Amino acid sequence: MNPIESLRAEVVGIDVQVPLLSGGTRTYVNLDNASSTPTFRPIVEKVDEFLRYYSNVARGTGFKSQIASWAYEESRNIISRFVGADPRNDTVIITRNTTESLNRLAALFPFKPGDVILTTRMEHSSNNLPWRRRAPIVQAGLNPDGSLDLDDFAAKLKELRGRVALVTVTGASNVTGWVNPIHHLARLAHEAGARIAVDAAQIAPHRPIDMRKRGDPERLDFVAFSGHKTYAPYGAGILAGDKSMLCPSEPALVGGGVADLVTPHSVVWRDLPSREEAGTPAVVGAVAIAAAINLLGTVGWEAIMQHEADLTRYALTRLSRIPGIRVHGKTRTDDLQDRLGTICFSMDGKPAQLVAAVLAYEAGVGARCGQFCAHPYIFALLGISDVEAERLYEGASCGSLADMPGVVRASFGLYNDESDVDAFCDSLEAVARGDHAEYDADPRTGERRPKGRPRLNPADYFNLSPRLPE
Amino acid sequence: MPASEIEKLRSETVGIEVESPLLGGGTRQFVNLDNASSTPTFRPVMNKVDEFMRFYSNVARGTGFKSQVASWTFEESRRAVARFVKADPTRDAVIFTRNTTESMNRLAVLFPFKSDSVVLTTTMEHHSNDLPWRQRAQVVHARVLADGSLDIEDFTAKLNQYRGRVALVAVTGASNVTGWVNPVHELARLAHEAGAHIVIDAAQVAPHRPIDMRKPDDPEHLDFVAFSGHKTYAPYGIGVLIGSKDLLHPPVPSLVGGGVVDLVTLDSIVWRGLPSREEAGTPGVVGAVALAAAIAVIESVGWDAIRRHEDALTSHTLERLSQIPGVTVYGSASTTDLSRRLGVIAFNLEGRSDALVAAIMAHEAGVGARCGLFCAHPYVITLLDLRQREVERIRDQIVLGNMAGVPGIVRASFGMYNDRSDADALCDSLTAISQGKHAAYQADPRTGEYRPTGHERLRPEDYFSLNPR
Repeated sequence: MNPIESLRAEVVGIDVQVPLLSGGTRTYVNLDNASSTPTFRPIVEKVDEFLRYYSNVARGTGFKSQIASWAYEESRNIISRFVGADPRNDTVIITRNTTESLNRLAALFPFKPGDVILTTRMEHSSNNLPWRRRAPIVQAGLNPDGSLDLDDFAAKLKELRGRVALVTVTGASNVTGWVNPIHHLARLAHEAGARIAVDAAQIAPHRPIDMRKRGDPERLDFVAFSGHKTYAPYGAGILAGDKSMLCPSEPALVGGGVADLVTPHSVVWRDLPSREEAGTPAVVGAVAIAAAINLLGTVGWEAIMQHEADLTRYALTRLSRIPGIRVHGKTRTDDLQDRLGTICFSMDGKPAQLVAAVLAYEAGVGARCGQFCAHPYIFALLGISDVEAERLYEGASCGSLADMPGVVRASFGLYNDESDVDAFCDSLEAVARGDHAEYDADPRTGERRPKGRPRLNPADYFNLSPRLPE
Repeated sequence: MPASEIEKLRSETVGIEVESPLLGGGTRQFVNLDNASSTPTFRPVMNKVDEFMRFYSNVARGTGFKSQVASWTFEESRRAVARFVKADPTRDAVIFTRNTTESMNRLAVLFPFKSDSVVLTTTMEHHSNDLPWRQRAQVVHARVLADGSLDIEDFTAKLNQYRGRVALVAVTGASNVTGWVNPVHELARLAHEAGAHIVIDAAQVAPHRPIDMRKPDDPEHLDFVAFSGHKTYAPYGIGVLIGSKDLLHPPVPSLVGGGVVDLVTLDSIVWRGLPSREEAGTPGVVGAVALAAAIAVIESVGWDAIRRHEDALTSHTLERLSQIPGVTVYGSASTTDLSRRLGVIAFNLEGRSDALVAAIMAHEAGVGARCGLFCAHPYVITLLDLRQREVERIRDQIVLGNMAGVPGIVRASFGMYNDRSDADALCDSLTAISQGKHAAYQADPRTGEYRPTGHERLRPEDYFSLNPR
């Protein structure tokens, strides 16, 4: 067995049986990896082993504190190498998730009055909303297939030349899986005197990241990603980047661990990264990310990329034969370099929420539906006009989300295989034939639930009471 | 679990069996007396987390089976935290953060301060309950008495002096240095009478005493409470901020991004309600589950058993310390104050720096204690009775990056899994040190850290590696 096939058995919870509407159960099919990935048994075991040495990391003199402090800094080094950071000039700050990392960068980056931020219309909200509070944002447009319009990007950069302080783009779309040419964008940004930040949440588990050394015109100045999309869902995220731009006069969060001396009226702040990790940091989360990185390293990028491209090609081919399915984004299968195994689609006459519900209740497939925290992008993909968007805005303000248009998304992790694609496509074929149960829509959220069935009771499957010693 | 069965929990402490290498060769079982800093976890908590991992999935709007189980579990964890502090389900929100520090920073950002607002805090606070307020308002510190406990008269006087301007009173439930427990409900009543709200930094007190926020119409209710999983036997990167929704709801959330909005268009946003709007991005689901499981362990042991056990340990330790020549205990050294202190014991040994004592205990007795200023510099400076000129000298030295010779204190702190053998290991080691029976050490001129002269540095990679199997 190749390393990828043998890893499938090591996915924690790969064997979980889910109840089906028809009675009986089947093994859960997880196609929601773009949202959050499960972890692998070797990572859980590494975390559990680390917990034997767990201790606070700062200035402890005891044996465990020394081990824990070393493991934490070693995790930071592993993460730094994972993104190809420049060890002399870059720092690695452990946060909770990509959203916090980007908010942090927005708070720390030295914007001046008059500055503009150039981003794109394909971003997740986490790479859009934090910037709106710091400077006017300009969004580069899209091609009809949902990929970034590079001409528009270059034109906007030119038009705003001298004012763009930061370019911020996603490494890959969390909706269509389009991969952006980040080093090309970095070159354009630097030529225009701007810095570049890459939201690497989606791309980190699928493609190598290389920030490169300072001075390289294609260098990435800042990179953010999350453990929970990288097989380490233990609540840690990362912001890596240029130290000199992350060090304003005061840290973003203040408290324990960020100061060398505090008197009632003065403070001597510590250096990076400590000054940006107020309070006890997410040590366990950092160890889990480092272990996951090491695990990915044993599989190798080539094997991961090959496997995921094969799966994507297979899925796109099967989807193309199902009547009424419209895949948004790239549908060609000859070259999959510039897309991830994140596939979003609509089905004629079937609302996204209905399709996702049938997949979940009748086939045990965990996909996702909605707007994926990328509302402007979804509206663009679905061709929704600004007038229509305004009407939806009014509805949402009144608490009604039932009419929100959305798409269905299936997204692969490296552990998925063809049987997962088959379960998913078989179910969609049944939906296309109208061969599914009846569902009620929640009047507020639009969420579909099987008509006349009791709600799933999660307490039947999991409880929070730990088993104590007899 | 009957009271005597607290002993069984000891063997369930993850890593309790770990051997620490000793300077003279050989090893001994590591003695963890640094619980005020961070606690280990228990096997039942870890097992519960591992079990949850089978169902782990993102929590928002997923239609799949695992997403439904994970979402339910996350919200169940939130309810467990609310019950743990007896929050009011209609008044209060429970927001998951990373740690108490983030909770306090969050409250400082969200709380509706006015331009002339004053925050009344105390000299005995951890920096996390002092620095965040300095960014938002004028901060006034109530003094401490000679024994390090809060000077209630000064607290009342300052509340009167700034009457009408004190928007928020911010006090710790218990000191992270001396273990003094504050009368939080009495302070709450005084705060409310003066028209202020009150926030309790419960990081220290949460694993040792029940917290009761009480009903909103009770004059002694607590408006906000913050604490951390990593001091409550759930070190999985989680903290909480609990409190009045009305006061945590400015027009825009503190962090923005995924999960905090119902709709975003190019120029308008519909924000979600609490708690989602304050949990931007994928929240610390695993940490929340760990915290709920740890709360379940604490509750099954029961507060009576925990307090009786920790009081007995503290009393035993204080008695033994009183017999060691040259030991000064900061705070209360009396065994009659156990009702208003935790098992957090701060001390120094005459003629030896705190850093040296901690190093000897670590290298020669396998005892993990802590030394320094405990992120409570103003308090430690007061306890050590340092003069202003001395503080300025230290400040100048630190600015130049030199931490050597900075004064400090040694701290030993108990968790509910510690026992008398741990206290004895600490006191035996101190006795030996006081008799001069220890190896030679050298201080690192930059960090001030002491290391045994002529010995190799510990190689952590001999004990742990980050390579998964």
